[in-house]
Amino acid sequence: MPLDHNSDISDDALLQLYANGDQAAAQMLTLRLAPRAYGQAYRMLGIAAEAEDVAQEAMMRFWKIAPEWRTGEAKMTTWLYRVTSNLCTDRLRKTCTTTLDAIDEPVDPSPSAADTMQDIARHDALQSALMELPERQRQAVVLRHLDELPNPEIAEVMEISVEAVESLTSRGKRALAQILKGRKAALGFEGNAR
Amino acid sequence: MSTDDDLTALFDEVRRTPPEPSTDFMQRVLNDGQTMQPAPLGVMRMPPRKRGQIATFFAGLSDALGGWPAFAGLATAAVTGLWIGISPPQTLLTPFGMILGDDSAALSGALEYGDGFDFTLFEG
Repeated sequence: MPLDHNSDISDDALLQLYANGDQAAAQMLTLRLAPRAYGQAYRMLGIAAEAEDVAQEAMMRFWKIAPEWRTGEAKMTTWLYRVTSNLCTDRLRKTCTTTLDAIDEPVDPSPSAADTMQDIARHDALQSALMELPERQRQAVVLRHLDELPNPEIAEVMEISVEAVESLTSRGKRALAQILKGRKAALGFEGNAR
Repeated sequence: MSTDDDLTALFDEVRRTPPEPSTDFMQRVLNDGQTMQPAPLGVMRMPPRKRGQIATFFAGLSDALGGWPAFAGLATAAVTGLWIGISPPQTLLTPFGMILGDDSAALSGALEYGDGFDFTLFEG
């Protein structure tokens, strides 16, 4: 599947094209949105197969409403993050017995990362640490520090106030630092004595 | 991991290499999107119907005669002619009876070959 070379087309324009039956628009929307939904679901669930299920369901809901999307009313990505987030929450409540052993090794096919076991170990350590965070903290940290969403948008996704987002990300980050403190060897930060 | 900087560096690194979804997943999502996509506006494509030789012949005949209204007229005329032959109405028989009379020979005579051909019967 080719990469999305039409990044200059706005989300609203793409939605309009999709609603008019333009097949290329379906492909561009898939390339633009599906990896985001998958990434968020993977960070929240830690299991690739479950993340794919959730992301596919989120995208299915998106396709359903896409033809009737009212331009300018809501941001498409915010909506998708919220749906994915809710689906992840549902999934976590159903499978609250998931152990850390069930979490996949992070898969990263890019040559620069795959070449070094250290990088894989770091990603693994971060993912494991994320899974130890309370669900809401994890969600806030992922959206803020990995998806790089601004706090007001995270507030919209999580349906909470901006202050609550700040509190969650701050506590989440502190907790992560604490968890990762004992894993310096895995992270390769031992040489970075300060 | 004692400082924010280490954690920030880790976030940066992980962000640069986001989890990659499988090709199968991307294809499934695209298939869903294409299945649920509205049809293009203003274009309706009907697949051509396959016809046998006989159907093609009758279709050509129908076109040549002017379509189904012509066939309807033709069928009506044929059925009417058949019905008149089997059971001719009295109003049709009476004028012929007045002209030919009751003599059956007159009817035979009317149906005979013309006089001009009689000589051919006597030639050896």
